Amino acid sequence: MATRSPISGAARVLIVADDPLAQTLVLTLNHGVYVSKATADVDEALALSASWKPHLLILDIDLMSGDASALIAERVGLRRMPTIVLTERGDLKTKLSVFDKGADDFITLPLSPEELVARTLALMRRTYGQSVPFIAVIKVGGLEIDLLNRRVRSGTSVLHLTAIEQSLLYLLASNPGKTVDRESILDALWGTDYVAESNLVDRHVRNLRVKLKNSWRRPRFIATVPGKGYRFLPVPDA
Amino acid sequence: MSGRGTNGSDGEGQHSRILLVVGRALANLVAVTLKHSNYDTRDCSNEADCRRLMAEWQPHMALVDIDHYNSFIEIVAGATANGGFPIVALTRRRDTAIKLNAFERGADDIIEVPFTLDEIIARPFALMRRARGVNPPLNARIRLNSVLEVDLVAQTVKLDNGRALDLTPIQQTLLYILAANHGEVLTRETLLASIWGSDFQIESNVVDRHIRELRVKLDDDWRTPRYIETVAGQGYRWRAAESQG
Repeated sequence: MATRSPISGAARVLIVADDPLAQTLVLTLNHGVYVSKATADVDEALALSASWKPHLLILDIDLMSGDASALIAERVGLRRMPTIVLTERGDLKTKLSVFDKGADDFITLPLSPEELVARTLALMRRTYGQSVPFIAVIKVGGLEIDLLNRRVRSGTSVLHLTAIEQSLLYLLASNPGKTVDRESILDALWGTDYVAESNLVDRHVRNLRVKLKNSWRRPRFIATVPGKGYRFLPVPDA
Repeated sequence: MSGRGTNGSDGEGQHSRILLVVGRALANLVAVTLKHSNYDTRDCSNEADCRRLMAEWQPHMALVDIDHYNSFIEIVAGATANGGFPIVALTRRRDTAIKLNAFERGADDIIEVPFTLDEIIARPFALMRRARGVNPPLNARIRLNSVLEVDLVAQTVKLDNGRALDLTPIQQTLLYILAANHGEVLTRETLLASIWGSDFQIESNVVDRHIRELRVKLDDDWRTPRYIETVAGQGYRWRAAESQG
């Protein structure tokens, strides 16, 4: 496979997905040296691919409106864009047809941050023959998140998260100030096929809060929005 | 990434060879699943065998369980003269460092345990095409142990009496691994490690629960089983197909 000329500076990533997933992708990509733009609009994505010339395309083929699959391996100039496809449909037909259309890789939702990071880095190296630097620790809303060791530091305390708690934290923290309802959380972390007990989301939020030493009465990171869901409260950086 | 079938194609109707560096029970599952496409498979789990197979059998691709055979990536990657030998890694660990390390050492793709069976088809398919310009065909329907007809696309199983069953992905995987190892006792630990992965937090009876559900769908009585036998104190065994066609 012929590699392309190296990228100078940060690689440009175009993300085509609905919120809150799109924001989670943007946040997670901070583990590498990328600049990303996100849109849920297929026409806007087409315009951006022409004007902004992304190095990498990450797209969800289950967009709420519009069909993003036409964008797979879309050309920028003479080159096709390396493409990672996201979907909830984990079936063989979907996967084969996505590869047939020219996708380079495939991630089944629910999203785990480490899988996105690893597959993105691998594809960038394969395509451009150079490694995008990996940044294990990122800062978000007063927390330091260490993806490599699955550890979060808040002030002086360090805590370990399970894989689900980590995904939950990325999801909430990437949409600061916005209410993410239980449905969306369930959908993003477990997928729509999953038949969950009714309090599954609440149980994991509770565990995460305990670890973050976050009282629900005076929340520091995660606020409850009664009857709706949860909201991440950013702590202003000191 | 250009012309398909132009560079080093295995030719029309020819089988591609995949080396499985995986423990036996899981290797059998993968081998049976790969029958949904045109592949020949061999498995090995010691260094000498792997080196010999690489040299003599000359596979086109390898699948390596890096939780148990991590160093074998170098063995298979280093066995070909010009490098770029396609490798798929298999891991149960949701760990960024391990994945990045595997990619760095030459893995082209990674399949996570637990996997759904279609991953075992789709990822090698994509890699074959990318690395070798070969388009492996898909056989959605195959026969398992002569008594079952399974359809991976429609996700259905037909019994020898013509009755169709609808299975969940995990039930389908369980069925495949038992049938792929017919006549052998598979312990709960083996089933857990092969299908669910060890990082998974699960209740102790998860295997038994899924076996029970699968039996109900197969209409299999545990006292007089036609398909799945309980081997007391050990695990489960798929009855080898007898007289029936």
